[in-house]
Amino acid sequence: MIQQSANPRSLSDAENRLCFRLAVFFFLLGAILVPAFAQSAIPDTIEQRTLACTQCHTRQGQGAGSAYIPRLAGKPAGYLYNQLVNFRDGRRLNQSMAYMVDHQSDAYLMEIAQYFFGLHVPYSAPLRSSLSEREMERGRTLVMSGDQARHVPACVACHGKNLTGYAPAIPALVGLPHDYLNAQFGNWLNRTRHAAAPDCMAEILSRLDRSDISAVSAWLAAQNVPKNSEPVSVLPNTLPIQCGSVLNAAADVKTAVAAPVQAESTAIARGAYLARFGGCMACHTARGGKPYAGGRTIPTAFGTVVSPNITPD
Amino acid sequence: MHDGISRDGTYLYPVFPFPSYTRVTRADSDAIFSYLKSLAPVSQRAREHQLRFPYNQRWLLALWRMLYFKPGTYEPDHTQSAQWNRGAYLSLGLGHCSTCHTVRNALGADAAHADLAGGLIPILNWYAPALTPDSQAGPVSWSNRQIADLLKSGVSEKGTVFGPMAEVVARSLQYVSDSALDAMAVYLKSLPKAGNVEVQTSARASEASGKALQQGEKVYKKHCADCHGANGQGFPPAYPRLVGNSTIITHSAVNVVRMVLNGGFPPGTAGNPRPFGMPPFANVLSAAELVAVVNYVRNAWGNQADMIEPGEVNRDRGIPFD
Repeated sequence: MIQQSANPRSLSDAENRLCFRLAVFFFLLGAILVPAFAQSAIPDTIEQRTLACTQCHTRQGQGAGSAYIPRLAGKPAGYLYNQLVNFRDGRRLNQSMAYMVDHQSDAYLMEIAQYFFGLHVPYSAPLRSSLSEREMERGRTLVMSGDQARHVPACVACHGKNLTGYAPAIPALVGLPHDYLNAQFGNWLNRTRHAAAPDCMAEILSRLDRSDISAVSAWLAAQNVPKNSEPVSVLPNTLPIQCGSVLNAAADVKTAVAAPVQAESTAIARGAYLARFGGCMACHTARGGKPYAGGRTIPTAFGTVVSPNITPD
Repeated sequence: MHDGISRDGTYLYPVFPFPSYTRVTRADSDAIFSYLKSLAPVSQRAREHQLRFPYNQRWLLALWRMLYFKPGTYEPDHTQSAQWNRGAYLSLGLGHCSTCHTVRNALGADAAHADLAGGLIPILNWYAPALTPDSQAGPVSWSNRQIADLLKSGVSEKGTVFGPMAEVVARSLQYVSDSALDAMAVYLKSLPKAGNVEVQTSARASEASGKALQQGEKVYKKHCADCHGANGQGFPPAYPRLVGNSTIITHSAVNVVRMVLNGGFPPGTAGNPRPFGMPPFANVLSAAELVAVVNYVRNAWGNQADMIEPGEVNRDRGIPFD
């Protein structure tokens, strides 16, 4: 009754048409939005895309219970990026990591690296070390001052005075578990971890005794992470040693996906296209090696075959 | 390339897919050769193969060639269209699909005349699904567009590439022209049934398997349904559908088991540059849960495939990644 008195007249033709148009509009809007919402059950975020990473490195990238699965959160993006590329190109040997990043572009690996760099997660308290005071003091001296006689620079000279890293490519040394530090030093000594040449850490570690290395890792693992855990962006002095990983990080991220080769009329361009098609490069290129220069090992039921160099060498 | 014989006359091992490349026309192989000659030389000496006796005796390849190698460029089938012939030429020649998608015998030879009816890839231990209608879920049930999407970007409405096929897409097929992919799709959809292989078998529904499937459903709901959907419909192209997915219901469950164990990313391609990844579950699920969930996805929502045993999961754990 109230409605009627407020709107006593019947709808005009124009209003009828408007109602019809509105109904059609909302129906169409619904038809568009319903599938869109059905799809949106999967959030289009880098967090969602990297669930494969956080299964082991944990959701916030703070590392898992296992000391061998490191924290990713807050590590300098250039450093994380270099590691992903190193796994992909065979400079670091870890089967499951290589499997994960195989066939991913530099640009995507950089995006993943920046995502984890941007995560801020508190650090857990360091564990007490079982090393003697004398050994810990030796570790502290090496970290803070190095060993001039053996041309070993201080850790702080590159990793920042609070050891929180130097952006974009040098990581923090605090906040890492003792086992993880030891494993990485061991990997360098066993040549299962490399950085881009010149590989400064491999060089430094080769100048140290095993006892020195374990003193350094024990001392580092026992330190608290300072309140400001951001990597520094300026160092007081130039780097005391050349590091390929730092040089590379300064370069622009190049797109890994090679420019598509168009099938052109010239024989060479057509050959390039057909060689791609035939998969020549895949077998005739070693992991991280020069294209077509061979050296890829192919396991067969009859033994291992090594692909030959098919450049005009 | 055509004959599997090197410049100096020695026989090449058929790990180089010359049994496929022999079908490539002389004009095409000359173009490839002129391209390779144009590359900047890289001085890198080839290391020696490390093959066991008697396989390290190259002269024995003469015998192998007599038995298994038939040289000759592709002969067009004039009862078929030009597009079909182009697809066949590309798939059977340079594309060398049959290198993986045809079962091999104990001497590493194509034992089924490039029938593309699928097979376990020796040593790599991934199962290359049938491309023939022996599998209901094969290309015969895909649209041309879906096939071309998969080959070009690595993802499609029907499935996602992983394992060795991820490399094929990343390093070769994503650069191939659309018309070539269309032609391959036309050819692949026309393949006849091979009939001589056990592509998939239906599970015997027993009380025991019913109970196992219930356990699998629990695991699925907890760990898989968020991304692959409550009914296995997936969210393609981000996450593949599992219903009617050819790699899920193949005779061998090795692909499913390895995917659940190790997860992984589809290849990054121009068409899918930022792939969604699948987490590895090797350290999350117990062996019993793994078996249960693999059996569940292979037998839920209308899927039908053999049930697997715990031993199979344990064996697949040991497979190297590449």
